[in-house]
Amino acid sequence: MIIIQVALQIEARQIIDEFKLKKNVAFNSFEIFESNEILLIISGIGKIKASSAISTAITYSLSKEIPLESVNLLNFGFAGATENFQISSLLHINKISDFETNKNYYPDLIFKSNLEKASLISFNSPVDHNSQLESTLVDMECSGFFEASSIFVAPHQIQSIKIVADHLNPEYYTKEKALQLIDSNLEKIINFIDFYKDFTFNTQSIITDEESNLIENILLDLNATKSQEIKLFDEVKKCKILRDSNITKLLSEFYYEKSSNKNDNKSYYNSLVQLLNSKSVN
Amino acid sequence: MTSEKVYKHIYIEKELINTPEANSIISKFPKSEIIEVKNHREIFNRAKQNFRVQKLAPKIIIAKKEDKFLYTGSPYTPDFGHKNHFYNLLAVNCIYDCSYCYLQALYKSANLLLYVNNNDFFDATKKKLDELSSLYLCISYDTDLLAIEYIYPYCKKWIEFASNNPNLYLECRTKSANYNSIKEYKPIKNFILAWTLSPDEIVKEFEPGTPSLKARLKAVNNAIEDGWPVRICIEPVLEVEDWKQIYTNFINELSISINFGKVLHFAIGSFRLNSDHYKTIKKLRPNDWLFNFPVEKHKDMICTPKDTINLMEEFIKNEIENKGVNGDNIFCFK
Repeated sequence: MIIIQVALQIEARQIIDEFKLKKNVAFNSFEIFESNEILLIISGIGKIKASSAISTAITYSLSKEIPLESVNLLNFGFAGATENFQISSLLHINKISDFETNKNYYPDLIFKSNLEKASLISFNSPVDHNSQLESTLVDMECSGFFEASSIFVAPHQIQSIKIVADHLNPEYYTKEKALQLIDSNLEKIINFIDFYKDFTFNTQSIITDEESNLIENILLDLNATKSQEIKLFDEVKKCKILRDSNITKLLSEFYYEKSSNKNDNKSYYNSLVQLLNSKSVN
Repeated sequence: MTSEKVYKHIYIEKELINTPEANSIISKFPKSEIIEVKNHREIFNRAKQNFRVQKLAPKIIIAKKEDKFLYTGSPYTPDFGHKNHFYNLLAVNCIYDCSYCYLQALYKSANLLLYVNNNDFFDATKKKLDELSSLYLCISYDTDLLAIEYIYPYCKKWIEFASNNPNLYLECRTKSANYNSIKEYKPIKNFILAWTLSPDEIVKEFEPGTPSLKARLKAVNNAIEDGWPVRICIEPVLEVEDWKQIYTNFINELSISINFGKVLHFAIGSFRLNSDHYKTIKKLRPNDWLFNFPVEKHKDMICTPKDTINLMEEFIKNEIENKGVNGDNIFCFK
């Protein structure tokens, strides 16, 4: 899934419409819009608000038992830029510097986005054209977003894409102009979100749902402890990898009797582990 | 969208921008994007990096090593009877992706870190050499220098350095077939090319991205015939199904392809990892055969069970001896 953080409602509007996101009215600190695969949070302006918002969104997704490994984070929005960047360009950020702390952040660029890359500097206050800047984008959120995100996930799960909205002249764009800037890039933004939300590195267990159910039933019947559960799953996995055994058959045919006697249960459990082990090695 | 191309992004320390060393690397990748960093640590040592994910699209980091130009050799790594065993880190990480490789646990990043301040390494090595009068220095432990010779000519530079320092014995470990990149150099007795070879069944299963056994043997043979001292390292020996047949065929193929009489040493090594590294890699590769197979713990090391490895090493040693190699020339490491 993907969590998208934007600063302003106007940056969110077309994404909300395009992905048919529904407002979650349970939140009042930040506005949250969501579907099964996308969670969008509007942070407000500034690094602290961006970091608070992304932490809130991550905590919320954890409360829904979504594993962090499958959550990708995206900062999206408008940015100012030096004049070598064209207004309305959509850029994929490869380096974020925090002007005030002098810290740098680097997203891992693993997938090919087809977007031009650029670096960005995050400031505490708006930047005007008098600033002595060389070839960069500027904003007021991204370093806060990245710093907070880094606490939770890997750098390949933290990305930022920005639309150049002005040449260090924040008064340049109106509401209509802002909507137009997003409209002209909407297809590319949608493509990016569509791919990025599914970009996960699969290290899931090779145990199937059917096998998992069989194991859980046995564990329940034998009144097994948590450590016995972990060990049994590990033994089943080993058995599958090393011998490619028919685990479903083995588990279905494993004979045991439900008992309230702790020693009986332990004995059945040990027999099962032994059986799996005997299938695990040559 | 798919994965980015390998080395599509090159990170470079600010003070190295426009130096001849950095420019020489960058010129090999004209389409890559260059990203300036203050110091390589801010990119290489980031928290929570995923080694497996980064292997999908590794980056190059061009850096300057500030200190520690020599490390004392570990008791778990062989010195082949040499005194004063050291190693250095000219580069970190490898272009290959072997399942059993300790680098994936040792470092947070899978990106290829290249130190380009060779003169600092030479100065430190020369100083130590003057102090100890001879040195055995392994220069390709946490990387494969011959495989990355096309990116930066470490081997050439160190062959030149060794030519002027006959008491410095260098070992360059490799799985590469890229012998041609140093072929133009006159062989010297104190630059040992140590080729790691495995049966093709193991290469295909556990050494993705590496050259085939046939390609490696061609490179080994050329190096031997040109007069380079070559060590053959058979490791890690793995107890795969039909291992006896597989290793018998393998030694046969080796003996047909290369002149065993001209091989400096044979080294046979078992699968062994520091126990913390083993745990880390098992988390990264939970479904790999290699990290589900029975192992034993000895002190802080995870190894193939002792009985198994004794049996396998003895078997392979006998196979090599049967081809006329003196047993004293065969080293076994457990």
